[in-house]
Amino acid sequence: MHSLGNYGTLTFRKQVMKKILKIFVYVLLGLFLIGGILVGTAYLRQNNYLFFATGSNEKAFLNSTWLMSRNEVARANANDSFLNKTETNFYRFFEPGIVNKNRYSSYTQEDLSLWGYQTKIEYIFFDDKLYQYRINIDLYDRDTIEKTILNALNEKYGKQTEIKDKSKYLISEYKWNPKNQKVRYWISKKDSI
Amino acid sequence: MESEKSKSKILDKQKRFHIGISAEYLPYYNKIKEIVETERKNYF
Repeated sequence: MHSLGNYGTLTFRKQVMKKILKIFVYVLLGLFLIGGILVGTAYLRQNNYLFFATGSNEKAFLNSTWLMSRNEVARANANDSFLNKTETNFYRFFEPGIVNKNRYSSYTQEDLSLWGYQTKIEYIFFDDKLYQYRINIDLYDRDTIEKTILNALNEKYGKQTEIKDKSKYLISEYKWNPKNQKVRYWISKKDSI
Repeated sequence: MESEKSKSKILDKQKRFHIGISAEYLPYYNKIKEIVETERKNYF
């Protein structure tokens, strides 16, 4: 009887230990799962994937859309390659307003060629959302390129409007007003800027 | 390498014209203007 009692206690203890081990494994799995979710969410947030993507459905430049974050623009237009951070003075447009200028950021892409010319693209962000881009091309001569570019812009945005009261430093300036956008084109002599 | 760099710098200097194209997204541009204006009002 005595040994049977010992056997019963041993079996009971084994069962309790098994239960404790089971609970421990479940807790461990739960912790791994929570850790995985937290790390995964941080990764998605940092790189603006899935529900952390901010881009709208309205096309901006090339494959990017308006309101995209820097990460999204890099993925869309620069094959994930790094866009160079540049100094921007765009907050000056809203003077005498006051705003933390760190909310603005500007990045450039220089590995593009448009209409056969080396091009520098500037993407400008406010709160890491794309709201403006600038295409810059330097030329030796005003040959047919001006006509080609204007034709391309007219085809995309409709008939151009010439800006009469343009800055004296500009040779010519045109604008377009497609839906939700303001598009400008200008040509100047480099030494006059 | 260095001479190539200086060559390209000289060539860049010879480029006499600059073409610029800019596009702005007006719904967000106007929102930024509003933010800037509100911050100014709150500041003073």
